[in-house]
Amino acid sequence: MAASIRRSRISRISESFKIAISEIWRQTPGKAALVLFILLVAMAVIAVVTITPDFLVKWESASYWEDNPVVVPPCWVNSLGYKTAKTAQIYFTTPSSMEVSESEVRYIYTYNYTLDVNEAPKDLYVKAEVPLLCEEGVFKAPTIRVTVERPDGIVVLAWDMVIEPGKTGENVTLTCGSLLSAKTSKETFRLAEVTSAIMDKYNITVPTEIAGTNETYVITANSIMRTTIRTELENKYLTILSVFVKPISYKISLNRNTTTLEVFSKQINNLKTTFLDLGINIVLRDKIIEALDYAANNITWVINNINTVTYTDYLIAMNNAYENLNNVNKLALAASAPVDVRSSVDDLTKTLGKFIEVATTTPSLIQPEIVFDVLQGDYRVNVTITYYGVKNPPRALSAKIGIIVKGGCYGILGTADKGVDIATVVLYGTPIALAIGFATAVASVFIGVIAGIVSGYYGGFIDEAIQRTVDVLGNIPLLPILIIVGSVAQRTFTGEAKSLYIILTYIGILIIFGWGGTAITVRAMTLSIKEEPYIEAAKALGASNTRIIFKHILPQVLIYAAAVLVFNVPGAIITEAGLSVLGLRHGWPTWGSVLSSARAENRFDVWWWILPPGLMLSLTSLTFVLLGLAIERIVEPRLRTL
Amino acid sequence: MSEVQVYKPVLDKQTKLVVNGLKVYFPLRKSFVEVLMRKPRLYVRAVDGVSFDVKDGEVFALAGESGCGKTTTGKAVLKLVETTSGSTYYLPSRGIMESNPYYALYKKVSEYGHIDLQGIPDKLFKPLRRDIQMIWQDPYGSLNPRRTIFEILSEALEIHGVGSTKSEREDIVAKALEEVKLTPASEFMYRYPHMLSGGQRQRVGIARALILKPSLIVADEPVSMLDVSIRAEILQLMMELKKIHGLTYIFITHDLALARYISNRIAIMYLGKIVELGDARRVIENPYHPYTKALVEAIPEPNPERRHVIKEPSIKGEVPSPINVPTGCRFHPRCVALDQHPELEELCKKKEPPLIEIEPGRYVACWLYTKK
Ligand SMILES: Nc1ncnc2c1ncn2[C@@H]1O[C@H](COP(=O)(O)OP(=O)(O)O)[C@@H](O)[C@H]1O
Ligand code: SF4
Ligand SMILES: [Mg+2]
Repeated sequence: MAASIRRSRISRISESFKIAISEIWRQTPGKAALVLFILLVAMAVIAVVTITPDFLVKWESASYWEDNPVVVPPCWVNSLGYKTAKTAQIYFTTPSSMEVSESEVRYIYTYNYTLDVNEAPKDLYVKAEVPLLCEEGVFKAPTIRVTVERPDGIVVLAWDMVIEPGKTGENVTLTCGSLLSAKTSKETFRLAEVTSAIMDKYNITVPTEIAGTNETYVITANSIMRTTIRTELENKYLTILSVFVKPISYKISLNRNTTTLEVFSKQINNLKTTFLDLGINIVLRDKIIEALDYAANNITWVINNINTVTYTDYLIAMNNAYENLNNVNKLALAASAPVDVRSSVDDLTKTLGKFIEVATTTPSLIQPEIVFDVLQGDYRVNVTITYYGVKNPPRALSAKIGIIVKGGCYGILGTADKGVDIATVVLYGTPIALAIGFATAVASVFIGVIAGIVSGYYGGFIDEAIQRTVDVLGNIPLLPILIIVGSVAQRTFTGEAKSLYIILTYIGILIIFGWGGTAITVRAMTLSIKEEPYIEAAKALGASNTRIIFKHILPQVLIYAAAVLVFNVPGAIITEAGLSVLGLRHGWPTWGSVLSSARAENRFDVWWWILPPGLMLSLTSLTFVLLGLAIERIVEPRLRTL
Repeated sequence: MSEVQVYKPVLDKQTKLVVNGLKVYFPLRKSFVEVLMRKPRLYVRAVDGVSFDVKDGEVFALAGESGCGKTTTGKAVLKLVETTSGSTYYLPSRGIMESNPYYALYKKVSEYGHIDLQGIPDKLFKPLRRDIQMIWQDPYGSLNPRRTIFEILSEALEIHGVGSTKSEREDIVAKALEEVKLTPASEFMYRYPHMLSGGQRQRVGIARALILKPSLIVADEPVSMLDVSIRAEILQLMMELKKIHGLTYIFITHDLALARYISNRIAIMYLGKIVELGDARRVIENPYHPYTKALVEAIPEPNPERRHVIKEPSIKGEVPSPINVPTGCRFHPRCVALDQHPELEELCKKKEPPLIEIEPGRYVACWLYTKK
């Protein structure tokens, strides 16, 4: 009979746990706390299951995130009115198509990238890991060609290279065709070709009323225009922009400022006066005067027709003037004109020559102005891997090809500096935060409970000692201690486990300074429980002190301790975050470290960098405070009516 | 004129317990200022020299107003409070001693096997706890509200290693519950105290005291906190159990009517001292000490016709604090007899009256009866 009612201890504990949970669930804040808590735990579990062992070490290195755009918002902001290009990180293990001919075999990987906003991606490149094909003991390395076919049909060749086989037989891994780094490796990404193709495609030429009709000068004018636009693209925008832009309007004008021309004309006239005053051979002098007149007339003609003159006519006139001045130079030498006069003729000739040279190589006369806009539509990225002289090419090439387009947004929470994916760090920060919080709370509550019970139950000297220790600890300001010990720890610890040791140091200090409050309350509880008649009754039965502590005092203290523990969890998490933001970093991916990097980069304006870790900290605190309140209401029946 | 017979507890074959010159002083905590001023430590003289003997199988009542030190005396017998001086000699029941591994270590103070309880260390006293048990005044506070009745009762079994398995203990607990008429026992066993009435709780308290099969029980006002209607049941149960198990009771009460009904002998206590001791019926029907007289007169008159008679108050003032016990006879500030015998004033105020025999088996501590 008795046995049928008997229940095992475990089932009773699980039953009271169930009752506690349902008690919590009955309260509105308790419900919210449980939901939030389950979410947190779920995040922590996902993180622990998916985290790779090297993440803790490598997450702060730029190379770990190299394929991510840097400091970009999450992609859902586009639905809030932001205009950002999407980011693509596509990895192929099988080619999209394969072409076999007698002499070569081509494996082609194709990816269509749709650009539907007015913002160009920040970079585009291909990460290739290609095998060397071995035939008759000879390793064949492929060539890799990366092209981007624009929506308007222009095909940009971003990369075309023969792979140098590294160690025999091993796959070759390389990054090819980065449009961003094309600026420093012009031989791989031919910007000139792209601009030319765009000019051709959109019929951008120097108009005849500007250029004139002389073929050479027309070519010169157009070449100046293209060089100028290219330089402008290179300097003003990122190079990559040229792959994603089209011209929407342009204006090419001729410099119609005559100041320089008037200076030339005045100096020629001055020379004329000088020569007329010189007592040199009359015939030569007349020839000199005539040549000077020709030169002056040509320049004057340009000045007079400056509003209608073409580039061709401008330069022909200037060349005429130059030829005549050259003549004057020779004649003056023949007439043994004074040295100072001859050198001024020579100077003027050289200046004019320089003027012409500048006018034919720089945009000093031909002044193009082009307005570009982003070209929206489907871009097709083709990666072609070609092997030559392979007789039995494999159907499935064991190459790994990644096509990376760095857009203006990333993932669900965006990125921080170095391309750090905030969502990943926030996720992986969850178990660390919970571990820090729980380790600190459990340890300090554990110590507090033991100290409190010993203090209250045994009294006397040990009580006095514990209470004075609590007083002393309670009067030492915690933050300065943390800062001092934290910076010492940063300098002292080295090696692989440095981060762990620094965090453990923080936890240790928080524990040392954290148990006092619990000890005081538990002591008070113990003092009052100790005086309960049932304790004396137990003593009358012969119960030992240990028995009274474990069977009568501890169970009551533990329920209170559970509430305190839950209240204490967020404290440690927030302290860790605070220390990180203050610069006492440990190196693990915590919420505090994300905030800390924002501070280090002085980027508090980047909301997607600040809000996620900040919200996680607040939500975690909220969770545990609500949970603590709910538990407290169960523990403290007087509060239940509230 | 023969010498006056000052009371001395008898230590013979029938004596279950002797309490001799028991004093329990509780030191008061000194305040910081008092420590600085080097004030002497003050004491609550809860029990201030109490002697009595309890015969095997009797009900010995300890009576007196609340605060006079009855409970403390009872606790001192169970060694739950530290005694300042005095001794308690106890004759353990035979069954307990046979199974006690330490038996040879006890200091015997009589040829019958009485043991000096005050002199022995806790370790030696623990086996004796099985033999001396207590029923507590407060049926609410004396049961841990967080433990089931089974846990409360089996705690004693666990402590003393009675019953090796849980089911064995369950059987013992069930029997104990049946003995105190909490049936069906299997139903009560897994209830919590708050699910029980006061009377049922006190039955649990009795079962807890009895579960180790003791021979001496200190019952500290076991019915004073219960409804009047169920007091009789509980007392009857206690008397029944006494008969079945051959128990000896030290019955602490402030209710003289109850003491007369239940006990063989009675000791009246006032401010930590016994002022009168003797056969319960005789003491209550014919009290000698002015304090006993006052107590007896305060018993509500059972005859309703005489209730309206307003009696002369036979006591004055309030109980003084046990910290400042009056000099001489500690009852003198309240004694109405002293007013009628002014010739005794000097004596009563200066000298403490001894407990002397004035009739065979009747002892009183009052100068009125002490022929010089
Ligand atoms: N643990 C203690 N510390 C200090 N004083 C006590 C303690 N226990 C009892 N007292 C005091 O001793 C006196 C006697 O108490 P008690 O034995 O409980 O009286 P009774 O049971 O007769 O009512 C009272 O004045 C009480 O205040
Ligand atoms: S000794 Fe004196 S004061 Fe004390 S009770 Fe007797 S008569 Fe009263
Ligand atoms: Mg009492």
